[in-house]
Amino acid sequence: MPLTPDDQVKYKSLYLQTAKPYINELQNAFTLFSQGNVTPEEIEIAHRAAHSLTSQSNMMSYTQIAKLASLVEKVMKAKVDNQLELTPEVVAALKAAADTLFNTVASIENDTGETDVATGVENLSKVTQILI
Amino acid sequence: MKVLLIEDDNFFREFYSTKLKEKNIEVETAPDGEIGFSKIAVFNPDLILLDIIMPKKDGFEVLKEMGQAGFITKIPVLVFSTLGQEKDVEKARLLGAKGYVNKSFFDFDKLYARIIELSKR
Repeated sequence: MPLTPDDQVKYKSLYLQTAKPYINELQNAFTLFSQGNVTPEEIEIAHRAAHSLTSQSNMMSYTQIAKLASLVEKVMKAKVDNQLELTPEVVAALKAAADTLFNTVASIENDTGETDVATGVENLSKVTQILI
Repeated sequence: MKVLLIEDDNFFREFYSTKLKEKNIEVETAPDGEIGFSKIAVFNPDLILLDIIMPKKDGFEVLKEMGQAGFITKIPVLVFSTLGQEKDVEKARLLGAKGYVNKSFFDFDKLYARIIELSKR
């Protein structure tokens, strides 16, 4: 059961306050990956950030963010489990996904609603063969 | 009634803490498993709400240490889960958790009823 409309209003600023650092963590991690700095710690940070962002976005009924963050979480889980190679194409798609998440959260903050994340989902799924 | 909420996500920690306090439940919070475990003996909660994916010490490690310390048979634990964590929930149950709460898709009244039910045992 999602939050009531009253709670959605009440907790929106807390959501924004906590969602933005998670997206920053994702952007930082994917930038490091693109520079060849792939460490277990950064992989874990990115996995946890995507997981938390997915959970709280679902709770707030921000379905677009939840959809893309969930896919990023699955991709990072596959990396945690050594089932995925972070090729340049995968890292580029992850970076693009993090930027899309950033822009979508900015749209929510500006009261213009979520933006469509279909392209980001499609690109990341295509290069990783991981479905949402 | 005292609940220890061990959850690294500030959003959920704040949300659940507020909701539980509205029900006149005394709430203590911890942002990771390490701090959470250290608070069990001091706070002596009637129930623990425990996240699984956390820094420093995850929910499984907390459950294992609760087992070693003898807490797991005395204090009921509900783990926080999300969609796709079914295996994690089963693993938590095997470690002594009494059940789970889907923290994103929840019914707070049901959670409250479950907390009351478990803490009376």
